[in-house]
Amino acid sequence: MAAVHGDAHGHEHDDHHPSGIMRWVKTTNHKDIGTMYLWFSFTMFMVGGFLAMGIRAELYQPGIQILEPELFNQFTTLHGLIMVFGAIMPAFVGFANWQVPMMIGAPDMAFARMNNWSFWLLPVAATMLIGSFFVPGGAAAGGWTFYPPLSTQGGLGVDLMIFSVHVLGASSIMGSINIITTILNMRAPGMTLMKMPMFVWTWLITAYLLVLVMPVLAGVVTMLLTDRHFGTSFFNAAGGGDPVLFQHIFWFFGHPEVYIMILPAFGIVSEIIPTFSRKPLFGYSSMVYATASIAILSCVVWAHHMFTAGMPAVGQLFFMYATMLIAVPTAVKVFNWTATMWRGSMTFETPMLFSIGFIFLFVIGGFSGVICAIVPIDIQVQDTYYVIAHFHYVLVSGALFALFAGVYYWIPKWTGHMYSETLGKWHFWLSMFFFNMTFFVQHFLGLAGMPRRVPDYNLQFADFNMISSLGAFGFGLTQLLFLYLVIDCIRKGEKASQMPWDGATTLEWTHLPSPAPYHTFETPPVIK
Amino acid sequence: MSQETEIKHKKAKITAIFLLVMVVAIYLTVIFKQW
Repeated sequence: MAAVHGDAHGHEHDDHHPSGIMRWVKTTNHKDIGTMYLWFSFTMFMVGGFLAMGIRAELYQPGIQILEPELFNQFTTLHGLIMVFGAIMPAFVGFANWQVPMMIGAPDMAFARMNNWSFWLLPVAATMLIGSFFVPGGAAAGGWTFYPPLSTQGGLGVDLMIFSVHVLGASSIMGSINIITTILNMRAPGMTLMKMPMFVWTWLITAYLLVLVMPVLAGVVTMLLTDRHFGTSFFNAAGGGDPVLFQHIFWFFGHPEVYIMILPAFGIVSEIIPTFSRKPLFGYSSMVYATASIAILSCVVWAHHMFTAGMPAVGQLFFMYATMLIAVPTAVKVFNWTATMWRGSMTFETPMLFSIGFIFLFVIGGFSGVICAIVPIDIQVQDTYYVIAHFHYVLVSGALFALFAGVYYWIPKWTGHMYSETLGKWHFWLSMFFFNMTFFVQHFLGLAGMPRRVPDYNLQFADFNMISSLGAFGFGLTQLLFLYLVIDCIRKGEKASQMPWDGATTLEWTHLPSPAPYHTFETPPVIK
Repeated sequence: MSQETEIKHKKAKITAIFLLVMVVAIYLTVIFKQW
């Protein structure tokens, strides 16, 4: 990070803000909106988690226990949709809202009113999605990928899901346009692109990915809607359409979506590891290029999700090798994080523990991804628990662990209070233990052939499923500890200093007190 | 409003409009390509 001088305290005056409920309804302040995004995503995480507990309770032993198969399918579908669109994505947008303006020395986001609108679309969409459980026929049950013909045949629940995905997409597009415009136009004088913190870089690239692929998702769900209600046959073979076309268009969105959920996580970890290693990030520019390479490659690998759908051998080969190629820039990142830690004065506070846990487990998820990319293996493990294990290693111990790391890292700046380090460490170690208990055994289940999205299974899978379910219940309970810890921090936490982490170098630590004032950087700092 | 701020606002608007046009163009292309 570059050295900074000049008017460092342009935020000192005018710290008043409105109070009451209307503060939150009408706010255009990036910090308020960031807070709302984070609480919203945590609420959705709890709802999605409740569905996960239902799924694991059903799978605790063979036979049908508590969920009828139709309801089980609705649970798996909504669990995926809520976690992807309601929990992980909004959480990262919450981080972007809080951190991007402060890290680039901007007073707020470029389009503050649109920022408010982007947030308030989310509860509307979430209400439609969760409310779909209570309409005749229940919620969508064809999986979070809503492949036709299941999704063209479902009831009102599918329509509600389509509307909510449209609304969530509109919110994401507005959010990403806002982030790109803010980063490109509102950086403090002297902060060139190559001086930006890595978190800002990863969000800039993520926002471009969102602008590219969200309209594709919007297009495909519009076509689904017209197939359902307006007599078109985009995906209906009887009318001259092709259901596999849906899969191609969906995954053209869906695979970059995976990177939309992981690139900002890379950014958070790239801020935390240098801080707690007390060294600058190793290979900053290679990190930027690796992030951009991952984003570009993510757009040409979509059909690896469809190896069993029917594809010429040359297509299989292209998508297999292109997918494997992503391991190269990803390995650059892992190497750089490790090299940053090498011979650093490391300490292991909770953000650092979650970041190291992230690297360790994300690499396992990355390797099982390369295994899934190999066509003959993928044909064996397609739609088995091996794939479930793979993407939970990427999205839970990847994206979610990075989110936890980020909350612990920045909560002193957000609230002005320190969290309990003891409880934070308990949260980390319990999450680590229960996460692996839940998902590691699913590799074995998948390799033995247990299919996903089925509420019953053969007796041979019973032991591993019991272990997995017990782990899931433990993981779920552990997250209540996190909720307690955050509330305890806000209400009774020890007062945080301006720079509680002595290795931090970005503007929010060097220039702003804790908690960060309501208005910051009204006079931009000058960066040398 | 200073001239510098005005130029900044104009640049932000142009960036946003460019991105919005891109979004609409991709959306329509996806649908009409398959029409």
